[in-house]
Amino acid sequence: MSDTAVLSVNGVFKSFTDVRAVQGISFEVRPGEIFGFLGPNGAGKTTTLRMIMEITRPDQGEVLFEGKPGLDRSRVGYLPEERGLFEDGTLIDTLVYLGTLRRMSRRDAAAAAREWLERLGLADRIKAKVGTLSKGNQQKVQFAGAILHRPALAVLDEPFSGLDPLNQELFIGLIRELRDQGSAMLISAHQLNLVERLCDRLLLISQGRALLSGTLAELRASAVGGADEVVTLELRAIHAGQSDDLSRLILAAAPAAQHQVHAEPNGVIRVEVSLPSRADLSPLLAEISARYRVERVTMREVSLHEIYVRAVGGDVEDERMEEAAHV
Amino acid sequence: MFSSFAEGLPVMMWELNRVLKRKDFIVSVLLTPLLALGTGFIVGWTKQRQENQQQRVAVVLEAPASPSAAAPLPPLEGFTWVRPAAAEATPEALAESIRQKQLDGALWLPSNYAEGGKARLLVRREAPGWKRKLETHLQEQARVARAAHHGVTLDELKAFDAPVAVEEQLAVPRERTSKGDRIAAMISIMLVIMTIFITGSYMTIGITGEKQSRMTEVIVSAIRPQAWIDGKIAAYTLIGLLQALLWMASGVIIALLFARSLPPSMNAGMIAVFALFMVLGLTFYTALYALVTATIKDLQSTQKFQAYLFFLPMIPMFFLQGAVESPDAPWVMAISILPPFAPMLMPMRLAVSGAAPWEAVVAIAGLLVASYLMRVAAGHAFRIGMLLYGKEVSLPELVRWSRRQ
Repeated sequence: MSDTAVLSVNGVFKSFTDVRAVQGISFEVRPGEIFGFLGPNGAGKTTTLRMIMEITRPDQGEVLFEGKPGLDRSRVGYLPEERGLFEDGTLIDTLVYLGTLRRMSRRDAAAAAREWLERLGLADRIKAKVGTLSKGNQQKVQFAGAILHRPALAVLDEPFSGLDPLNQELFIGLIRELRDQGSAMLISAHQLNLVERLCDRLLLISQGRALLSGTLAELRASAVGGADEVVTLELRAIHAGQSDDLSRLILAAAPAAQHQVHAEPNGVIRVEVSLPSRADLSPLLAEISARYRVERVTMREVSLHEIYVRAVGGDVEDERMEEAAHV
Repeated sequence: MFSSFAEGLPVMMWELNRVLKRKDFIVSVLLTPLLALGTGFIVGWTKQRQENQQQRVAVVLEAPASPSAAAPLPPLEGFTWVRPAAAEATPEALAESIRQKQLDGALWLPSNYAEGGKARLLVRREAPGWKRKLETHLQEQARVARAAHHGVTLDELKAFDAPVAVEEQLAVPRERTSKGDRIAAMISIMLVIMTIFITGSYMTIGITGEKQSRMTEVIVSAIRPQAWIDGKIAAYTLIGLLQALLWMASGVIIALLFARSLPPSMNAGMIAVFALFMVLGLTFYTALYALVTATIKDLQSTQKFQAYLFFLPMIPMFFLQGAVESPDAPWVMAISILPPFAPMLMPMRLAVSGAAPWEAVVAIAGLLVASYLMRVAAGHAFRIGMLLYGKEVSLPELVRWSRRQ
């Protein structure tokens, strides 16, 4: 992986009339890296991507491509969230057009289009009109149009939306392949399970501001107090009518842990605990076992979904508190 | 500017490919001259046939005799006078002959028709085409009869009717002032207006289609909006030029087929001037249409000022005749220099009047500047407007966008 970032976003701001869409976001994407750009709806992701693609301009801050201002459009691919195709154009004509827009010769564009359509399972539809394709197949053509020219940077906004699981896997394979060939991939998606598998680094934004950034392990450390594992305990009370305060018990045994308690109708109490350190597990289990019958203990890594929900949920809550304070 | 056009070259090729393959475009561009040729041929053939066709008209002379009674009808080219026998000269019998197409008409001609006696004409259809020729012939006969009644001989009558000699002297060369030139000028103005309007319509359909298909963001990520609009302007200017040249060529063919000659002003120099103004006009108007279309959802549903801007090239139609008849009137001179109207009016003035070269130079310079500014404004508006889906903008917003860098 080269040290020079393909893309550097430095403190960009963007406002629309009375909305502050992006407030000082910064990040870098390096060659041969898949970078996840996450956030809830309205967080400012698409606005940031449009600033990167020079479709809109930042009010403040700068976007550098390979260390210099000004995007080289012929070396960048873009799959926007708002996307479509000329329905009356054939697949090959559409892709050749998109290739020539990116400064490919017609010959190279046609060869690349045929190759990608073959790989995407659309070789037999090469002369078909785009409008005759299913939504998923149109998505494949759009994807091919974005990466046809083997860009140095591919910006993919919601590449998995509308795809069935098999095609999601196909896209994951292709994105990894492009990454392995040295392309920098910037991906914004809501399918966190896929993002978690795919991305080397991530940036989570909310309300136009960066919340968390780094590798998944770094995000875990930031979002859940360093915990990288979630322990799930299934308990039953030893004595009927036992009503110990489980939360107090857990906090006493492992003060840094975060936890949630769910009492189920069949008498099982499910406790999810995020532990900063695995060393905290033994004293906690000893404390709980003294009062409850522990039926099952399972351990798993903290998911991106959980990190996202905690980080974004907390940010939204902070915002509400702030607004309430102003009122 | 040239790098922008170079960057927009794929857009130009794409648009050319799309439009030139459109069935409705092929029909409108190729079929219109064929239709015009066909219509011209049919009209000419019908006219020729009518001229060659003999009308068989029964003439029944009626009493009473009059002192100024006209002689029985003398021969008239295109007519055969049939004198029915007395038994067949009844209205019923003649009507039956007309219905059976043995006769085209029957004329009851009172001997005093020169003194106001009313002639009656029985025909198969109302107002047949030959009626006027017959009336003119009767009028002439009545006139001669009246003159004779007053003792005026035929030679004296001719002397009375001798035309007053007026010698016309032309202030501009003869070849620019013929009726044919004026007709050609009027047709050329219509040709420019129609070409601009039809080309603009195709461009509008293309742009609104791109907006509706959500292609715009993909394209502006690959190419600068200015290059995109430049590619479109180049494509639609070429399409319009092709259309105009095809129509003009068919007009020349029609003129040669039917009039057997071309108006003097239709020479290579004037055609080059016409083509130059056509290119500049198409550039100006395609840029204007792109600017406006970028700000609307589609032309059918827009309720705003944009709809009126689409009809800007149609305005010269309202004063077309006045401008052709008085091409050197001060008001025609003034508006023929204005960029929106120069493509239609300046070539016409150069063809049929003594428009000074400096006027053409000013008009060309004005069109060049206006087209450049319109192109830049369209590029700015395109960058913003093409990403707006379902929202239409006001005139102040449009002006603001056009100026925004």
